[in-house]
Amino acid sequence: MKKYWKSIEEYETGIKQINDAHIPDKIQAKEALKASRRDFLKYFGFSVASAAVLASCERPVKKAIPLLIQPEEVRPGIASYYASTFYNGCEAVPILVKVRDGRPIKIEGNDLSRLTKGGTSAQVQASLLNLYDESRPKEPVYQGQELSWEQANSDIIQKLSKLDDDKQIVFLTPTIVSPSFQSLLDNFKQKYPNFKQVTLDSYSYSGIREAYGKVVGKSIIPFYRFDKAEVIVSFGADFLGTWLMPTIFTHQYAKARKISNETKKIAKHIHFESYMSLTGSNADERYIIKPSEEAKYLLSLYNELAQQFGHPITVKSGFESELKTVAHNLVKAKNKALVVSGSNNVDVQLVVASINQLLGAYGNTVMVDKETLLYKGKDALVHKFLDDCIEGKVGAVISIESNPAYHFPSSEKFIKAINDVELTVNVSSQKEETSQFFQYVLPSSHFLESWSDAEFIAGEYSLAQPVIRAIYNTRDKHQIVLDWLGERSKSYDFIKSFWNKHILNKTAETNAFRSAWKQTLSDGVFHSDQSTKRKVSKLNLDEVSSRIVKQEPVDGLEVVAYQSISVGDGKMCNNPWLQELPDPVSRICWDNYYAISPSLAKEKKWKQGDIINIDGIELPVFIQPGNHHQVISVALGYGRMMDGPNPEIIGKNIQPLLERDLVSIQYFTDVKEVKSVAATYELATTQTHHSMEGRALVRETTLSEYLKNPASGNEMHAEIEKLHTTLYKEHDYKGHHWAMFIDLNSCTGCNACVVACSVENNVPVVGRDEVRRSHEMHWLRIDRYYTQLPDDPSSLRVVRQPVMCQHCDNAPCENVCPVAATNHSSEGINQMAYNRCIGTRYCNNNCPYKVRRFNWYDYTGADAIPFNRVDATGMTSDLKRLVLNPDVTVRAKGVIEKCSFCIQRIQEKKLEAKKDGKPLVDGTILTACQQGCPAKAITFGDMNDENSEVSKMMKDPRRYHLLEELHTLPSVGYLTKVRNTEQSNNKNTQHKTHS
Amino acid sequence: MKIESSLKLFNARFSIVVLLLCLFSSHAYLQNHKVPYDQTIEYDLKIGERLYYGLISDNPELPSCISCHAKFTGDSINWNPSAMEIVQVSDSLTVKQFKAVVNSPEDGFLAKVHKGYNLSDEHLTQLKLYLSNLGKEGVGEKSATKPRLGLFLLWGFLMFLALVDLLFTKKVRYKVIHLLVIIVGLSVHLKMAYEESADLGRSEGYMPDQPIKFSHQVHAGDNKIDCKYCHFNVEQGKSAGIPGPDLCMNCHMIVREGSRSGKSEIAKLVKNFEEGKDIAWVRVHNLPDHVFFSHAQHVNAGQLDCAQCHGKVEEMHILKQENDLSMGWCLDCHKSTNVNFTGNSYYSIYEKYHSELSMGVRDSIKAVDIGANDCMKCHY
Repeated sequence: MKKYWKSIEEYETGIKQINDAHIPDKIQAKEALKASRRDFLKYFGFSVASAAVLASCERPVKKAIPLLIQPEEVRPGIASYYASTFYNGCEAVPILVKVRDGRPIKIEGNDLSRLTKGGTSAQVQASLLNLYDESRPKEPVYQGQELSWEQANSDIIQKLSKLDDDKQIVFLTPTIVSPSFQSLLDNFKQKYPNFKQVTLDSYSYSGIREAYGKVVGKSIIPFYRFDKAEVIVSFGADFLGTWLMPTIFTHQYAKARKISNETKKIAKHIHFESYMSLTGSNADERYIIKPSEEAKYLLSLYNELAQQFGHPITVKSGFESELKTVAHNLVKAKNKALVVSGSNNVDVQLVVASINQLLGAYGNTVMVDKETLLYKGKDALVHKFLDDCIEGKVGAVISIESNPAYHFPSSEKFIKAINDVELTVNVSSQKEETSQFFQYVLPSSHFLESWSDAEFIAGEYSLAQPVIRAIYNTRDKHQIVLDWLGERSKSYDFIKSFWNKHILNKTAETNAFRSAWKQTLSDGVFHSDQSTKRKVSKLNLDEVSSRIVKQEPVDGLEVVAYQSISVGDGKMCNNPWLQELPDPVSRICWDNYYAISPSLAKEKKWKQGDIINIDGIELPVFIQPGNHHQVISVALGYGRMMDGPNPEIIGKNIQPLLERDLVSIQYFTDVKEVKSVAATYELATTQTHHSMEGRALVRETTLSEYLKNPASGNEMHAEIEKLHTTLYKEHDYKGHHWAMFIDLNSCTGCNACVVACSVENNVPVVGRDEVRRSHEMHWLRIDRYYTQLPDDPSSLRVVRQPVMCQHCDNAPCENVCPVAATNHSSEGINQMAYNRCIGTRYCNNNCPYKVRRFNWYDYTGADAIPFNRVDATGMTSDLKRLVLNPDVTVRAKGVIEKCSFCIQRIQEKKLEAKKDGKPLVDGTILTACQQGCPAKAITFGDMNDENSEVSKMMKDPRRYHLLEELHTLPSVGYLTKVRNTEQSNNKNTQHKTHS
Repeated sequence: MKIESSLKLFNARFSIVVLLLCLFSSHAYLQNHKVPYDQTIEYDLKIGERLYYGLISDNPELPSCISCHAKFTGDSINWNPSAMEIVQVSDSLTVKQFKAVVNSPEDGFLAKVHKGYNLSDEHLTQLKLYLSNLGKEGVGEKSATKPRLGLFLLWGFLMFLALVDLLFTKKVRYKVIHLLVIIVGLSVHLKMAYEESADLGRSEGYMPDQPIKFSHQVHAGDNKIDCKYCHFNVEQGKSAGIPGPDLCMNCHMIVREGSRSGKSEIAKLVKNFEEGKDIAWVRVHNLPDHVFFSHAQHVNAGQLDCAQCHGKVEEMHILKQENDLSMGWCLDCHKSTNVNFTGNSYYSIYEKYHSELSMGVRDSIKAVDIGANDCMKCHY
């Protein structure tokens, strides 16, 4: 039996020490001492008095105000779904927006999209809250003075026309994915010949584009097909987390790794990286390299492959022998192999392109005919723009949602240069650092208030429509540019006529166009199979390889900057849902940190939370198993102001570390100086709170074992099944018996389900201090366990397991509730009646899965008594409360809550079936976590229905239940994880146990 | 004895203070009113009030203002405009216009009932003054009779006396009497406390006044309009749907005079519609926030009749909450209501019940048998 451990403390000190995590910490002990007999009497008196006051109150008169004119499609209490598109400068995802009584309350994936099939990411799910953000710019502002839109627009137009002919007008934008907006800019260019558009991406993919400029003659990013790959080799590309378009890639990856009775084949995933990333933690084989060595490793791989294919090799870089087996795997898969790299170095990407060419991947797993239209920025052009600014060639800078003061490489230079520009306009829908340096600040609408469209992969279109009237005095970006062009048309009309002419290709104002447009608007997505044929030319790598080989090896510490799963590039930093989302690897939320390997910590004598200073930036240390001994990894996207009742800057911006006057930005650098600061910081982590004490929770096997015996790794299940016996009366489910299955082989740990669950079920945000006290409220958590030895990072394996209420048939929580607030429903659901709960927390103590959450305070403004409220993040404001789901009770202080299997969704679909007089079809009910999952790892259905998906999974030999030896009979089942490795991992897995 | 003497002392002091206060206030009053009383505003207001109540009248044969235009609304509907509604109209009128409306109105129904009124200009001014003052100060609280409170206080006082006598004065010899008074008093108090707290948040019989005197009896009873015509959402959504002014105007485009209310009430609706103003109806049936209730479930899937919960709405001028909407009331109904088990193929999954029905073990399936009383059917 394999041993798992959840944190480095647990590994080092054994299980005994871990129990200390449950002892109240200093804060709690202090507070417990503060409450005296006098306080008790005070509270007692207060409660008696308030009860008396409440009892004597008259019932408030409630008003029922119908709409003056009731639109036919809007029905009170019934949600409408509108298709739209999420895009915030990184990936674009087709979505559906659920609107109840005029306000958007949930974002779901658009299942009509053939790329995502309804998948989302944590950021997509959470982007809804940015709509209800009070810190958004509300009115047009000129030098701190509010003015009207008309005034601002006419001023800007006047100033633009007065500019000298030799002065440039620059639009600084993130990548424009909207073809209609691009055409608007083309119109702008015609009107103002000095117009120039500069793309500023928050994370640069310039290297790939430049490399493909040499490979296919046009600087594109090809479209990668992970679903067609049998062997995936990634060099530091976190494609399941943040690289390019993780939502689509996760969908493809899960498809390639789905194992079932029909397809007993899964893609092999080999990962080279320097720090523990989400993608790396999912890999079958993981190699730890220094970031500065990546180029040499790739070159060696190229040589090794060339040799095995019988092609001429180039200059050797010295790692050939280490890569023999990897190359062998790739050669076996041939054109069904895919090699990717996350590097922004042109030479590295040229080697990758050559490797894919050797393998014959073009047209199979790498599509150059169908390019990816994201991240169009080029580092050289960005630098040119800065030089132009400094030289005074620029007359006007109009930044549209690009926040250059934060995202610009060497932003200080930019801020200095911008002072001398005659006209500066910042168009933004969120609060941006840039606004304070620009003359005009124009509030643009949130994407949920705007008309727009997107073409994120050539031929894959998606429309975006407003789902709510603009909350503040904002205008959408199309409208703003239309106004500057002096055109009278509205953005909707412009987009419609653009689609008419260029995309739907129907004659104007005919019925054919009208119906095609209506259909597209309703579907949200549209695709055409047109593709541009591109010829891949053979490259000569000699020059590149000699450059690579010449690089001096870095001897010493290196810093790697990555984007975190939750905060990403930092655009949505002002989002409590994302800030409270624990990182899928480190399980830390609310801060960034320097992650170091345990061996480095030992060497430098750094402990968890010690603050260190690297080249002037101080951050706490987090000991992360799986990092390279000499690598310190740290997340980008922090150091921005979080508004709310207690505004604060969250984490530190580490971009300055990367600014070394390079033409193209590299996301790693060597450390010049590192100092220990005699201070510590307590990181808010959800890691050690839920320790499951080393039992067989996650079961796994290897592909070869699985092919011999599908139940391998899960032998325990058959043993336990024999022991079924109970004193309790068995439940008789006459109608439905709901069950959920989670395929551990599909789950990548992307966290989309966690946010989806929080949004759907009004799960409160508690804030950093409360998380430190283990008061986090997420109904669904993704447990992460390490296996193998942390001293040997390349052998380290990670397993993940989403855990929510298991809805046991023999539920231990039900038996101990003194007021029967939690009991069993006739459909197998462990029900929780909040209004009945008195908060004894006996159920919480008796739950072996620790999935019940207690409302220590009122976090969402449900209580009538303001004294109960703890609102660290402003979630109780009137505007933010608009996001609450009206079908789910907002819990008050002092009650237990937990996963309900999205009972509101079950009831809704059951009622629909009853109204239609038809049996409920399997797959109609989608829980929130299931709907948003990009990997389709979660299945929900009726166990009593023999033909349902979950019934089939009940018969799967991979099926098991969490802690099934306790005979709790959970309704949630798991399917074992299958790794595509030859040898069993079970060898030398004994982890040190302290007696 | 001590208590009695101290009480006497207190009485003496108290009367002196009261006397002094009276003197001062009358002195102040006289100082402020050098003009004759019959020329003050107070006098005009007083006369206006008396005119309104019919205590002074130009023609004693005719009914007083208040007999039709009541200050407070009662349990039965009063189609005539209330005092407050008159105030809102009369404020914008000149004395001449006011006189025309009161003494010789043009409108058909109004002309009939106001026939014979011939108020003098002075009285009209006084009446108008009273009305505008009413608009400023409001009609005040309706004096409510609270016999239960009286009973509560009475027993509280009796128990207090019994306690005082038991401990201090000891006038009554038999302690059984004290005990009896206290026991009965306590049980009366506890019973009332229990009943009051059980009723907390429940409002059976609630019948608030609405901004427009809309009568369900006229619409659903006299004119036999189907409930679902106005409550358009009842078969689809959780809420039945309150019709907006646009839906009302489907009929009231043409119907501008009510069979009982005359023109005034419908005029309010038309005004709201034309000015684009919302009508803020008072919600009659309220459930707590933690209860999920769906009309579609009960009316569409469960095929219940509206009257089963809402009573005979077609006989109500003022809508009244017929049932207490308590949880017990819901659960009892679920226990006794049959499910349309064979008619709806959604229920085909309940194989065991179907076989029991066909074998004759059961004659019907109640809502409770298919889990209607599970907590999470309503609380989530």
